[in-house]
Amino acid sequence: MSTEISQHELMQETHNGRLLRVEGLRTYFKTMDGIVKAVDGVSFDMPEGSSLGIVGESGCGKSVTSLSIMRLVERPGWIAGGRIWFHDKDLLHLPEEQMRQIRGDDISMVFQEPMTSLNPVYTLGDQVAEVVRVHRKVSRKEAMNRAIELFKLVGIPSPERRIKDYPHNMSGGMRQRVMIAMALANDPDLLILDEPTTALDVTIQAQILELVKDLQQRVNTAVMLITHDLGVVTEMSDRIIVMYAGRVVEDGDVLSVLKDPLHPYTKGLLASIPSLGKKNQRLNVIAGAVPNPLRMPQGCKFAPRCPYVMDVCRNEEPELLTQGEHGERKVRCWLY
Amino acid sequence: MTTYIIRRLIQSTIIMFGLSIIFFFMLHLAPGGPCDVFIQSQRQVIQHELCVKTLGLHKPLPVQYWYWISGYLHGNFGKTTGGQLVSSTILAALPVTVLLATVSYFFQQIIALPLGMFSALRQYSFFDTVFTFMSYVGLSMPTFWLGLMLIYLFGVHFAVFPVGLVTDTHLPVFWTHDWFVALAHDPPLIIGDLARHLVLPAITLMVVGVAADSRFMRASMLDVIHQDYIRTAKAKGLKRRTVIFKHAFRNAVLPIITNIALYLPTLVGGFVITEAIFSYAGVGNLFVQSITSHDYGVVQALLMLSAIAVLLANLLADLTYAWVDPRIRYD
Amino acid sequence: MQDPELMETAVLSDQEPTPIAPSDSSRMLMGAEDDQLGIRQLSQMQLFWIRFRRHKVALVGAVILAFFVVLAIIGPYISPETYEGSGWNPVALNWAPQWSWHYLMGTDANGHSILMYVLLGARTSLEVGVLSAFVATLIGILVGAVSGYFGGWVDAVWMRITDVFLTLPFLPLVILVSAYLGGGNAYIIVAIFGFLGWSSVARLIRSYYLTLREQEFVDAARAVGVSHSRIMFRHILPNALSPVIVSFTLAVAGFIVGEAAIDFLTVGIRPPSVSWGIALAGAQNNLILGNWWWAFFPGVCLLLVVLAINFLGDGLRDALDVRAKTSE
Repeated sequence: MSTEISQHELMQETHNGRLLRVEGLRTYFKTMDGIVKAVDGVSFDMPEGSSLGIVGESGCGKSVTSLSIMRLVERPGWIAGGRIWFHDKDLLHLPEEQMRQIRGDDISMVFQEPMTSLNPVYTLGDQVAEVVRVHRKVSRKEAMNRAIELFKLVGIPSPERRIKDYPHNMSGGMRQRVMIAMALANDPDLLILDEPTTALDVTIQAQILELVKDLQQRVNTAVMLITHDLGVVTEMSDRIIVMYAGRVVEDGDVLSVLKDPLHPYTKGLLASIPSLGKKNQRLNVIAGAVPNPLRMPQGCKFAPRCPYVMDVCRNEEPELLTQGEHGERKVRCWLY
Repeated sequence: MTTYIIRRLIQSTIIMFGLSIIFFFMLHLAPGGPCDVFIQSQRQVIQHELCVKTLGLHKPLPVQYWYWISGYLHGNFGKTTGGQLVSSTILAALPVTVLLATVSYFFQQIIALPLGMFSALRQYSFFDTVFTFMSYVGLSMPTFWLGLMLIYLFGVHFAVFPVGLVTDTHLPVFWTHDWFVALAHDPPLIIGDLARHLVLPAITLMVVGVAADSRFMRASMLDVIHQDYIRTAKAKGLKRRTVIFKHAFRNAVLPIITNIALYLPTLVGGFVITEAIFSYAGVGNLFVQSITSHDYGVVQALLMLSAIAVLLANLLADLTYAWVDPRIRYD
Repeated sequence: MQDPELMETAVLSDQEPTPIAPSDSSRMLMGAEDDQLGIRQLSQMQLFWIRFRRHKVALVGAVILAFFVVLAIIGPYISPETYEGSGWNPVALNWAPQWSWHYLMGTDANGHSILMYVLLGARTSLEVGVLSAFVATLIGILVGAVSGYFGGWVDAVWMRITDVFLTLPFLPLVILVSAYLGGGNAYIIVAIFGFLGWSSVARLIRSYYLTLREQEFVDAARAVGVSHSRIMFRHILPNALSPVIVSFTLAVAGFIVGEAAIDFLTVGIRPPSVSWGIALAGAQNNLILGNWWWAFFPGVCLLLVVLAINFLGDGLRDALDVRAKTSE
């Protein structure tokens, strides 16, 4: 598949229940030592109400991808190219005011750090009600009632009292519930969860994931889950995208990717998950390290760590090509 | 909260006790003691013994300290060399300093906070670079030299502002009965006169403060706008104005409150210098005058007063902080 | 995430505990007890230079300061006159733009050249500033180290004393004491500044000691029976040196202004010693007559020196990576 699709083709596809299409997204960061291409030509799409998991090591560009969709990339970073179609709007060419109206209303986001993502000087109720009032013409009282309703939805006990609390009165897990409540306030079409459980204890992680899964069924929202944990994606998503060094290296439905990983990197990731039953087996760890973003290898970015590396890999980068009879899977590797 | 205040008050009392000992010994360990300096200025030997007797200087030091401090606790600050009550001398000078302090502090914040905020929001811009450089200059500015240059430029060369004094010589002295009568009679004249005399000292006093506070505000704002909750606010689709003024500003301005109290001891020094340069008849000027005229009773009382002011300001800053920042609860 | 240094390998479900990248400071701490000390220190120095060179204003500050240091050294030799010498020019008070060494910055009411004040004052200013900062820092280190290292009641007592000194109105007290002691002598001023100005350094050092004493290398030293004073000053102090250097630098600037201020109020150094503050004091009474040069040139020098030191101090703060630390 090539990234150059004609406008016409695209418009047709958006009418076929396409919610989001990212096309050749490139987001760069300017550093003292040069330009870091954090996201370099990422393309994928999401149908309405679907669930997508984006997996990769820290620094692979998955969080930057999500911030690019929200157009919240801060200096020294900028979106250098590509298109992001949301319904039939090109988000990257929208005036800031229109983009602002989409944020928190049509697309909302939950961040990794619940401990620091809430403003310490305002009550939880104020902060949840605020997002309602920005996008809906409702009174303060109505917004507060909506906040209480949302608190109930995300399973916060005694919401009438809790809305008067400040963030520091709550645990990390509870704060993340508040963040989720805030994100769901205006029934968004797309909910982006950026490592929502990474900063939490294991037991709380499970609770939050359970909540998200439950909500996914109850409110018809498309969910983009960003994580480094392959296990979480397996639980939560229908489709999976594996990213490496700012690129998509594999794209497919969860079951077939798990059963039959194509890219050597995906294989490595799967092999490094400890499985029950094989107790004394040594864990497989992918050798080597993520390449320095300032000195990317010339060919395939994974070549220096790849056990199947060939000559061609070192010189030329493979494209993201469709695989299989039904064309549901894509991989960026010279092996196929 | 109440226990916290009580604990802090006890702590402050202990510090105050330490300070009083230092102030006391400073006076008594001087070569010749307080009477000697007194006599030197009066050139009268007979009075020396009288002075020793009145001040009880022939008694052991701890006893003397006790007399002195118990006098203070009863509100008896002693007499000046001119025979007036120290307390009334200070009270007469206090309104002038309060006026100068209030006006200069108000304008200092009005200028510093927006300046620092604006600079932070445009980090690395031309404005920010100029601002950073100017704030360095402001911070390094020797107050007294700035005062002299202002006097020369605006008082002498361009002659737009009067140099020195609180009010014009043909008008009544500030905050006296006559002054209030005159104020009631012709407010524009009196207020205008007061303002014209206030401009140069206030600017002199403000420059360092504006530089310090705006730099602090800039740093604080830079810190805040990179916080996760600001990203959350943006992700909620709030307007930039709301993000900055509602979410960033309130968090950024919190640390400034403690900063105010921390800088107070330095500020006291600023008052002394500024008032001395402009012959501005406040307590700072009184302090310098008393030192040159060897009126150490007044000096001691002023030192004690400024120390109490600093301690109270610290306490007040902490309480205000607790009041505005929901994360802090003292118990 | 954007930081290449933070990227770790095999993050994914790697069950072996991932080694946590030591932070700059802890790496430094480990280095202190390391065989590779030499290499590590070199790289620390290099890191320092790289950071410092980036700080352009700090370089400018260093150059300006160097200029004044040279002035302080050679000033007395190139000065057109000494204070004792009778005024070179019998006509008092002159601003003459004619090209003569003596007239370069005009003269004061006694016919002394202002250039003489500028040249001789540089030495006084820097001498008093550096020495006072040295004394204050020394006392501060001593108090802060003992407080922070021993903790407990020692800490409680010393910190209350420090509080007392922090609350002291510094400048008024300095004015008072030097008025008492008769001022005049630069070393008396140094002693007054040093004795009254140590409290903030003590606070700072204490906060570092409180954290550093919990580090493993301190336990290790204690375990092999190293004496308290040796641990305090040979083991811990090198790790708290960065904030000391920065606060020393900024203290120099503060004391230089302080010295000029008390000279200005005529309770500090007195003629025949020469300082910028003395020049300003003399100028004050004649300003009304329009004699701006008398105050202008010494004051500009004062401003430049203080500005240069502040630039330098900020550069050092960044280069040495000293973050603002708060105690309590």
